[in-house]
Amino acid sequence: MLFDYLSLSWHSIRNRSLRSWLTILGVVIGVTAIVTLISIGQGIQDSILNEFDKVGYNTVTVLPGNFDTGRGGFGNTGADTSSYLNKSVINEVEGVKTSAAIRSEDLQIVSEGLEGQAFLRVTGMSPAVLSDFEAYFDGFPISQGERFSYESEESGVVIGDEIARELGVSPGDIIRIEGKEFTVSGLLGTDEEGNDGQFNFYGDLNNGLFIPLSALENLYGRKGNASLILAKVFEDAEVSEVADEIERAYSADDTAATTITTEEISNRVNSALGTIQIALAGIAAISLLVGGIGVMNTMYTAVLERTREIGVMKAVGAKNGQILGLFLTESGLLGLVGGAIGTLVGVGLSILAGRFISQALSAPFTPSFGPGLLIGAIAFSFVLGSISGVLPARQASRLQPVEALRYE
Amino acid sequence: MKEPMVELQNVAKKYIMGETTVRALRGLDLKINNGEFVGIVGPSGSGKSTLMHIIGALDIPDQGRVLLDGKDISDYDENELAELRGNKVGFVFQTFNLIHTLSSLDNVALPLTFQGIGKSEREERAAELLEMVGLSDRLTHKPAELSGGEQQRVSIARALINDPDILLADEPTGNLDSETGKDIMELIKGLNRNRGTTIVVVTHNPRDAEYAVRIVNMIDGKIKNGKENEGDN
Ligand SMILES: Nc1ncnc2c1ncn2[C@@H]1O[C@H](COP(=O)(O)OP(=O)(O)OP(=O)(O)O)[C@@H](O)[C@H]1O
Ligand SMILES: [Mg+2]
Repeated sequence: MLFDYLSLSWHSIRNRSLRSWLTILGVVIGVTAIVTLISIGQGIQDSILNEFDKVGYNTVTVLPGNFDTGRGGFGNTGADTSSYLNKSVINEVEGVKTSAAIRSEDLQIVSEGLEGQAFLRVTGMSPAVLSDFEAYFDGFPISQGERFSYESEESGVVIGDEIARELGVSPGDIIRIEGKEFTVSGLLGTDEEGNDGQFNFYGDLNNGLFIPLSALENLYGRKGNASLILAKVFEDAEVSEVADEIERAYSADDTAATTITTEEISNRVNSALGTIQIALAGIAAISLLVGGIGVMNTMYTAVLERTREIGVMKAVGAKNGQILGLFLTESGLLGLVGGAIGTLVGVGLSILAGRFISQALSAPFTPSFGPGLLIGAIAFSFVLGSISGVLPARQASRLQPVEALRYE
Repeated sequence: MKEPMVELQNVAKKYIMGETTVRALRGLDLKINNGEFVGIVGPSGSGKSTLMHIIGALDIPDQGRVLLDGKDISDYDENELAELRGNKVGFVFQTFNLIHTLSSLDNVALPLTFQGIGKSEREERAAELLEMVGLSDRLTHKPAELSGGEQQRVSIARALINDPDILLADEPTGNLDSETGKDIMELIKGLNRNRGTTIVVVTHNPRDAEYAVRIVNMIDGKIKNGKENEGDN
């Protein structure tokens, strides 16, 4: 019976092919919009989540100062707010497996390609930064040369590619930081594995200079201080509890410290992305609603046009429920065809858009189509079409046969 | 004598249109026996079509009782009436009323679709009937690709596909030239003779009326008199 309905519906859809296709187009636009927006949104979310996975959910970032991270946590009011943290305090906290210290200062830079001098942000990194927290810096990708060295006194300096251009230096050249000579060992950029530093947790890598923390301490004193501490928690420890413990330890040391867990960052990013996605999907849903109204309009017209036909079918024994089923099948079919085409177009469009985004961000990006999205979009269109057809189909099924036959 | 196929008792039907009320049928009694060939004649507006609709369970009277094949259908609901039409009644209309998107074969097979009969059986029976009405080479034609006479043959085949107890034809030759009309009337007469189908034909054409064995004359929603046709056409 369903097959018969489908075949009859198909005949009448084909008979009004231009109008049917225009109606289907309305659904196609809505479904395309939804599939494209959701798959791109999901792709963005996936690639961000992937970065969080790389950094690891057992990572805790410790910053000097007092601010709300949303975790509630341990209020350490009354403690000193300084822009430095004592880097050894963290080692006494139970549950901390490894930690690394980072310190940034604005220092005087002189190079041959530069007229006069510049004050630029120089970041010192303890050895553990690049051995245990590489992902935090998106792999700390070197495009030319190599990393600075912890081994020798002449450590060298790694420079972001934009700054290097401004300073007019390339690997092997020499610059002066606070009067001391440093050999440029490498430039940051896109490395052989395709990491490009775009998605790192630290900040803009292209505009920084990086040296070992010990070298920075030699230049600028204040040994033992860090402006950012990274910690990894033991796998079996509760990350947020250890984070609270870290804040408490610094508070006992009379320093205000705030911790942020990877999960907190990820939750914030996710909820921000989620809100954007819902807003976009809402806009797309409106266009789908318009598509549904188009189906309803077409079906009302079809019922009017085919009033006699309905009368004939009733005269030869069609029951009200069968007429209802026939028209619902037809409107469902309009939705289904629109949904299938819209899903295909949406997939194509988001793959194209994905390439565009990849180029714009110069980062690999793939939109994400779960089977749920694809099947869901098609199934939803069928349901939308059917629902849009309910009122017209009911009107058709309730026609009096004699009056329907009389209709001109 | 056999049971009457149709029995109407004091049937009335009126149409109310705003201020005016049209009394299309005004208390009418009629018996049609199984296997009869009845012609209904009368002036335009006398209620012939209304009567046909009521006999064929397509419409219900405001008053009176309708018995079809011995069963009182006066209180049937819409679905029961539809079922009855699907099983016992075949309609032929003046304007053919074929579905223009469907081929001859699909048009003829359509009633069986609503009886839940499978595609192959439907098409087999439809093809047989189209052959019987002389259209075995027009199975895939759409109505627009057929002549008026051919369309009416298709609609007769459609009316027969459920093997009806009664065939109701409302001016079946009204839209055809006289020669084609004659062919159609011959076809209908053959059904009555060979299959024993009870037939009621409404007609304005005296020559068509000659085919009927009994003539029912309607005026103003009532039956004036009935007369038996002479001879054995
Ligand atoms: N749906 C309707 N609404 C209002 N009046 C109607 C309706 N159907 C029929 N009538 C009226 O009922 C009367 C009988 O109509 P009916 O169609 O039965 O006549 P008829 O004998 O078949 O006429 P004709 O020979 O012209 O086909 C007519 O006066 C017609 O105007
Ligand atoms: Mg009439």
